[in-house]
Amino acid sequence: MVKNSNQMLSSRLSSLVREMLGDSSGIMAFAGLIILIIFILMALFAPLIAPYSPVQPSGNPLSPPSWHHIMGTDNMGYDVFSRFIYGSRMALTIASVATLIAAGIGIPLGLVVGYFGGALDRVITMIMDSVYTFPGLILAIAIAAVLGPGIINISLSIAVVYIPTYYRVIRSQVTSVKNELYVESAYSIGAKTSTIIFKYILPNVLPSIIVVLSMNIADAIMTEAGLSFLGLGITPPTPDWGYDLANGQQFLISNDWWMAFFPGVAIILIVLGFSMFAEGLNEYFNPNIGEKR
Amino acid sequence: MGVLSIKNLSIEYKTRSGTVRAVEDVNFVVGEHESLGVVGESGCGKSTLGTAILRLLPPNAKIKGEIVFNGKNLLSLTDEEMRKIRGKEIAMIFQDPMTSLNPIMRVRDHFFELFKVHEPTMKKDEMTRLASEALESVGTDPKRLDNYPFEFSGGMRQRVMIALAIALKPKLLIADEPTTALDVVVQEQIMQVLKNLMKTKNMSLILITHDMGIVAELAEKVAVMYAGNLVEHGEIKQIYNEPKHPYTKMLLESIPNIKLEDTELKYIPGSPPDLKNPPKGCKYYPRCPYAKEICKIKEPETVEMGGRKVKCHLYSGSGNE
Amino acid sequence: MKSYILTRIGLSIPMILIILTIVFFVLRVLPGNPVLAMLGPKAPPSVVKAMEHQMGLDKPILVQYVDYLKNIAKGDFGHSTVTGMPVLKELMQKFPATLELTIFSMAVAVFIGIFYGTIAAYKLGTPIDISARIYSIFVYSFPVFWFGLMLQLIFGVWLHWLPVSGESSPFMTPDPIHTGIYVLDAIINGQWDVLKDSLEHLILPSLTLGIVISSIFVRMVRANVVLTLSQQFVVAARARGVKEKTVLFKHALKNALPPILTIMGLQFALLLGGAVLTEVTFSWPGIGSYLVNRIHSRDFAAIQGTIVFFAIFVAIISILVDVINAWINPRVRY
Repeated sequence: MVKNSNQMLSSRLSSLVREMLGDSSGIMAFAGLIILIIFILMALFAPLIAPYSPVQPSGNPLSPPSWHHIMGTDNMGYDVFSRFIYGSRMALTIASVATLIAAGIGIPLGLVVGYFGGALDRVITMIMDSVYTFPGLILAIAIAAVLGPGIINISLSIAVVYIPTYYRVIRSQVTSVKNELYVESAYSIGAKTSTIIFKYILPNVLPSIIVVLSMNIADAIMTEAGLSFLGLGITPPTPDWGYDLANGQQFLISNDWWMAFFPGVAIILIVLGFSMFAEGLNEYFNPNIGEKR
Repeated sequence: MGVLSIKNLSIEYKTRSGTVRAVEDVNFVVGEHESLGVVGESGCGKSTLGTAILRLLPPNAKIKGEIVFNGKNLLSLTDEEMRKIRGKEIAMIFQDPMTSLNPIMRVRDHFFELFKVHEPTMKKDEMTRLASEALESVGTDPKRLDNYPFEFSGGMRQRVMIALAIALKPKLLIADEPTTALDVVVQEQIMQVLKNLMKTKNMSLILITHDMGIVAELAEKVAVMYAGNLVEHGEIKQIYNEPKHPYTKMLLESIPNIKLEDTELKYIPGSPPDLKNPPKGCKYYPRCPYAKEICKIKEPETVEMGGRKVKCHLYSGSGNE
Repeated sequence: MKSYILTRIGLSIPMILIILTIVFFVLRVLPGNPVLAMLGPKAPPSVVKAMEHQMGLDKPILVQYVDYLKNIAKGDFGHSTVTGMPVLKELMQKFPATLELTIFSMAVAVFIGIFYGTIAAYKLGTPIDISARIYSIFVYSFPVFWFGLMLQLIFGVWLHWLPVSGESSPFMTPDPIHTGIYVLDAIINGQWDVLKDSLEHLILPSLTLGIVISSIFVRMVRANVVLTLSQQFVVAARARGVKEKTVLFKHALKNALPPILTIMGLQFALLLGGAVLTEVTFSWPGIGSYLVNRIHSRDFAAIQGTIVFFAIFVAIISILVDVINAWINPRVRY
């Protein structure tokens, strides 16, 4: 029995994949996914891929891209390419932790509040809306300034900004699903509230989460890079794209451009990966008018 | 030659998943002061046909054949020449009256825009006079010229649409499902409006609909379409009393009749073919109770019999009876 | 209409209060004694205690909270621990620079968004449309600060066309200053060389922020115009022989734009975050770089005051946008 359902699952998955590849939004989702996987692998296997240590001088400082250092070296003599690779660790770690915390608080909160409604709903939603409409980066800056550097602190600062995002998405889904007939029938046959919430509402609300999660991680990476750029991120010399960008600014004037250029490219690529994945998925499953025929 | 002559008209749409053959080799003529009903189920190509006459199809549509109006092939005109015909010689009204008027323009502005485009020298009072006349002929108070669309109900908006369409006295009016989005009572009102117009104006009407009932009320001739083909065409009394094509027969039979003792509603089993990969032979073959071997292989020819046209092997004399 | 405005303002007050409260507690309840942070860990305890007393930090937390709210209502945002000046005064001095940057960036973003988005929608499916979709996804992933650096590199370092930092060259400030927005003041004074200098300094920062934000606007405009163009009244107008240009502008755009502009107004918060990064990148003397600088100098009051200022500013803008929208669209004013 188990074997059969696994087979069914894998054959359903493979036909889904083949269908998606035939459509331009499906292709975009896949392209995004591939970029993501490359970066995740890069982060996991950094020590094996990077030619040099990112925190030890490995060449003459400020040397332009060459065969030995394909992205050049920075003012401390560190290899920019190695820092490019290791930077993915910081970006992905902080973004994932932040997103997990934000989702971990926002989703259950949205589920419960959306289900019960009432005064609790109004108060909490008002708080969430206030945070949501406030410029996220500035809020993160304020919290990061107080908490100080460190992976957990930065993740927390970023997480606070995104809690309302998850809360709102889940809550609106829950309030619409809540009134569906199948929930009412579950209720009428005596199902417990927690069962209704977790077994009936949650599975119907989850699919939209993947798209939101993906877009959110992209945003979180941007925010983290912004924080480090402003000097509020991790402490040097830990490889971090935002920090390297800030560091590279002073050398632009002497046309030593590679220190500022490549970390930015890294951010662009990884954000593109997440965006394309989320976009492609979203468009494939919910095509817009005029987008598909 | 009549007002409008459709010759060998075929329309294809290029889509991501293939080429859709929406209309195939359609031929018919609409005479002066004639009202023609074009009927068929959803997706049979009737709306595409109507929209094609005014060349309002989306850019991925390819049209072959001829659409001759007043001696000129509309398909060979330039965009500018075609634009001059729209709204003035040929007019069209659409299905959903709720969204057919610009929400931020008054009714008067709709009319004035129309007049300015086609008669640039017309003076304001002349425009107001024409607009009021048009509104009156559809049973609407001319004082409502200064209203915005949201101040009208659906039925009234449709009347305004019709007034706009006939204001410049076109020779041909194409009505694409004008009553489909309206409730039955309002439907009847709109039908009255159209009937009145047909009585008082020298205008031809092409009424596109899936409702056999309103066709019977209004049209002199009827053209039945199925899967992009014109399967039967003739005078309405003839066709409704003695339908020849199996599809027409079953269409008419499926209309619920309060007088009959039947307790079961008749319907046509199966569904229309995929227009991207139409089968060889007659497209109605899978659902036809009179189907023969030849129907599967060869497309039937259009035969003229007693003043009507039928596209069916039963009458083309080819193959066994 | 008046009642709508009042209701709207009334609704904003809880929102502002919530942000003020969050800021208050974040800055006080979280670990990190601000006084120690300011004076350094080696400060003698008596000095620390004196400082705490002076800053009112030894009172019970709720008393501090009430005082805090009372002060803000009076317009007292505290005094900078670095310069000793009232924070609000410093903010008001620097705010025009941020306003100038924000307005010009918004203008760039709106212009690109409407222009590119509309053309893409009109030519749906063509290479122009596809390029617009690629543009919006691609440019969206540009970090604002990286893009600024690249523009500095190309136009400042390589081409020497434009300055890369600051709001003006030395001795090129408008004299006298009226609004604080240099471009405006230069025009008022008729000082055309100052105007030229100010504009030159404004170009790169505005383009940086404006282009990145435009990626969101292009996609949004495109989606809205596509939707509007598919509406039946557009086809109906065409069916009456109306010229294409008129169909596009008078029928489609005139209907599509109001909701678009509203959404753009609501994106303002996004712009402010980017503005902070842009100000730092270009050493633009606005409240964004003020905030970041004071964070590095641990100027506790300035940090708090700036966040409060941002909260009030965002609230005012969203009230404005909502009121304008209600004025244009009477159906909103329940």
